[in-house]
Amino acid sequence: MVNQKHWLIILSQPPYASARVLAGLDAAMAAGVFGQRVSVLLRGTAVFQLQQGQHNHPTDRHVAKTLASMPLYDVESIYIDTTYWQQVNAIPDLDVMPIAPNRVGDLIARADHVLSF
Amino acid sequence: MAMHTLNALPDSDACIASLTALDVLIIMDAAVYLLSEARDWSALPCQVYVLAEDIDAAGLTAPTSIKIINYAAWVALSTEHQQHVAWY
Repeated sequence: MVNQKHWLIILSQPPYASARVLAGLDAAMAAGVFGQRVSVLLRGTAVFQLQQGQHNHPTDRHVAKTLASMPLYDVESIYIDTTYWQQVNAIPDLDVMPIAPNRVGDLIARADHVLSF
Repeated sequence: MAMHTLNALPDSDACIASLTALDVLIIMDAAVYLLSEARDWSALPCQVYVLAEDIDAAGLTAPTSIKIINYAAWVALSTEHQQHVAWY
């Protein structure tokens, strides 16, 4: 596709921490829908966005389910920081790729645009 | 070839872990207090800068390996790097 760029969306906050969480997920889905190559990195405590059994406030979107829908928006690459990953009881229906914090630089280098939320 | 901007202390470890030799790091805002820690800044893989206005406001001094820059130099660095990564 002409004008297709590789976008790296970096999410740094746990679910429901602030409006930045959903803003970042929206940015990823919007870029995917518009035919962009999108990678999402969940770093630090943002890996808990994939935790099972989240009980969100009725006015909030469910963060784990939103992430699980990413393949429908052609967001195929979800990277997860290994720092807290062992503590996460993650939703089973999403393929993720572990990445150590000292490999994040390689991920950034392969992206055309980096957005941090 | 990324320009990293670090605005706050909590993300400093993750930011520094992600640096590569082709990157630059600009420390600003509340992250300038990182410079008060005993750390070998010359051991980082890339050049580190700090915004003059922010380090002056904090009353801190920069180690010799860190370059103090103004806003114009920040803009110049942003034109020289493909990606901007904000740690805030």
